[in-house]
Amino acid sequence: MLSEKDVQVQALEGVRILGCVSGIAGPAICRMLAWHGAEAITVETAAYSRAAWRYRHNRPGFPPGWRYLEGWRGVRSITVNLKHPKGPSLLKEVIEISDVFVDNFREDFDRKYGLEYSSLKERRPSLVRVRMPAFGCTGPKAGYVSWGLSMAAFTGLTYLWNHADTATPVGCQTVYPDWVAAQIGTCAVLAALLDRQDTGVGTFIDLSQAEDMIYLLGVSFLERLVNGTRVRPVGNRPVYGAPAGCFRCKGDDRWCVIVVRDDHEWQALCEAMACRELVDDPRFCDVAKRRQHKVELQQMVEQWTSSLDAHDIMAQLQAMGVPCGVVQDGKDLCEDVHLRERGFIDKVFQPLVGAEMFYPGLPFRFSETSGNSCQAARDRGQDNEYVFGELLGYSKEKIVSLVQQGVLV
Amino acid sequence: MGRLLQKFVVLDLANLQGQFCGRVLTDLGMEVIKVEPPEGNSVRRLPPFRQGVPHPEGSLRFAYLNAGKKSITLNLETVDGKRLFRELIVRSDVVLESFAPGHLTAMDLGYATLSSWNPKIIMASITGFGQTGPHSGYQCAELIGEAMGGLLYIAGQPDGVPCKPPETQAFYMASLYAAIGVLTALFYRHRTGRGQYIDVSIQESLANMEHLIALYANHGRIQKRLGSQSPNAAPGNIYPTKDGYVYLFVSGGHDWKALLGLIRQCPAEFEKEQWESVTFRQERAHIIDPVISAWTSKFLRAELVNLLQSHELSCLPVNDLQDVLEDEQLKDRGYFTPLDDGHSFSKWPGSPFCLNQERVKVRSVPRLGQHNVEIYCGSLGLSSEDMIVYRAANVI
Repeated sequence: MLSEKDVQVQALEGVRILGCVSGIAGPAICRMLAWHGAEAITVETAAYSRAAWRYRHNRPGFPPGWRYLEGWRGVRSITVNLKHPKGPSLLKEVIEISDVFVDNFREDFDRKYGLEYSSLKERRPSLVRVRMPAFGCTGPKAGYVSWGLSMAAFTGLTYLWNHADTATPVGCQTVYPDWVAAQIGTCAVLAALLDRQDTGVGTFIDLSQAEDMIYLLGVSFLERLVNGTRVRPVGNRPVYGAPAGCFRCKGDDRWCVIVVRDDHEWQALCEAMACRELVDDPRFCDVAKRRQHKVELQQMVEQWTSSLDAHDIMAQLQAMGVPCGVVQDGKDLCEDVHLRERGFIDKVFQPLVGAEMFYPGLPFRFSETSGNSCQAARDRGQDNEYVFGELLGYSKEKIVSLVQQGVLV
Repeated sequence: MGRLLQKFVVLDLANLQGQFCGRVLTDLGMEVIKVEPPEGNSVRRLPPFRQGVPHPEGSLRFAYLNAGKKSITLNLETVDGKRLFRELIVRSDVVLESFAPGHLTAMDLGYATLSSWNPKIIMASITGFGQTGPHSGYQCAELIGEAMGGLLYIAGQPDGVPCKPPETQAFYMASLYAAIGVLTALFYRHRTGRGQYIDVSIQESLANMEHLIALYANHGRIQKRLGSQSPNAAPGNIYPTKDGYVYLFVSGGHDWKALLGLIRQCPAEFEKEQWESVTFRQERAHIIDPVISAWTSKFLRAELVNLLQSHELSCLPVNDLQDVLEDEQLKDRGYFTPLDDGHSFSKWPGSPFCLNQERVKVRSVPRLGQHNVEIYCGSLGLSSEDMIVYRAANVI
């Protein structure tokens, strides 16, 4: 145990996570651990599927893509060619000095390269192994391919993410299920590591990205299961309150959201709109009535908002205690005074492109440990020497020979 | 294999904004005690209800977000309530809360007080905009968090009204981050013996996700709404079949050629090398999509998914909830299962954590104050006379 004087100990110092990862979810786990002091090492290999490379755009001769620059910040890179006969055994040596081994590839990934947990665990009983194929490691669809939005479609998210009157499903362009899988995967890794501190034994965790997403749609599924009702999309209509929704404001594609939860907030809104007479209007006298007349309300409120600046409306209504927000785009987020004051946006020098760049930081602040998200992305294979030389004790000649043989590429 | 972290005790004071955090921690094995005011946590009054009928024990939203927790009632407004709370804090590892910033401090129950009672305590606050900054006092309903975090702006048709995701995703995402924060802090405590305070912002939990900030700050690009079109692929959209829709995602040139090989009758220009570039194709999605739609319309949905998956192309059905409930993969993995108490729910959306080949079971939903005797008498050593007095004084 450290003494009181030891300030700024990073929470996860001493933990090493190895990732065969691509896309969003896998790298995000490695990155989160790295930002809290763990050493995260990712493996770049020609053995990954073609689509995996989209995020890299960093084959020799290609500049690193912006997704890579953002997503791999603080994460070390080694280049083991898993397709080379010596590749998997070389990777095993790195696994044996790691605390966590994570991948987000298809179910057959570990069989293909002889990396099954049963054999890894024999050599390293404390190893935490996290697998996160789209559909998990078992079942008839375990081998299915899923990139991007297809997982949102499968899980019901695309179906539910629509306005109530939509004729055909729309959903959203975001790869939201990947972000969900990243956070659930991070929780699983940390829980297994904490558990290991008592037991000394690692855990095998099989996560299905489909199940991760359904976990965050549980209330809808429960409603379907218990009440037998057909659960339909409800768009911007909230669980409670009225008027509530998204309203057009002054300018091109400018919007604000307002959610009036109770009579008190309704009175405040009427005051802001300079329509005090509405307070006494029997059509709007309580929440139930207001929900009944939501279409008229939507029009009335929008008539008021459409000539005003979204930020002005937010400032005015929030000052009166009414929940209101600007529908912020990327520019708004960058200029958001609140986010700036909280130091949410990191400035990071990226040596790979020789420029200072800006990224969102951690969504939480710790009073003791300071997560450090101000880290740069590293070059492809930049850490081969560190990992194989310093950590595994290979001689320079041996490393050169591995490169010449095409094992390290 | 049982649960992982059974030795940790969590006191959960959170409302809708942070309630999912405790749920995740119970699924990871912790003992989570929901501390409710005598009239019950506000989420108990939120729909959907069993059979649509409002009832204090009938909220399915409360059920889902609190399954596996224990429930005690405690009136923190009273002197005795605070004293009991202090005894609970001394025996606990984590406190979760989502009151407006400053609310607990005004009651002399802020982190400074709690850590003076128990220096090892870890406290996580989940609020709309965090504890500091000019908007920290802003009201944050679910929709506000999604709008201010940037998710709403990019969701929906390009010429339509931005559209909110289902349920309370902003709150769920912040709750997941809070769980990560708590686990990280437990790690730190293991090494240093010290607890700490974690300030989670719902706005930042969403703003940190997509690439909206990086795209504007580094490239001057504002990401706009694209409907169902993926910003990373073409075809990358929803396409019709004879009996429903599929989502097809084709990114690399190899996948594109594989798709053309299946479609066969394509405009000749599609075969040209430049079409192998995803950027090139994305600019011509309006040319590609009608061709793809005409082809996909000839198939039954399941037939098309099987065909494309057998060629390693990312195609999955756009499912409604019933489709998901009937899916063979989820059935095979036992995702929807009865709740662990065996009677209250015959099917339940399960926990995603499968540890050493065994899925973590979800325990029952607590009735209001169901565990008062267990916690107050069992853990704190109150007598049944004490309980009568406290009940009469509306403390518990």
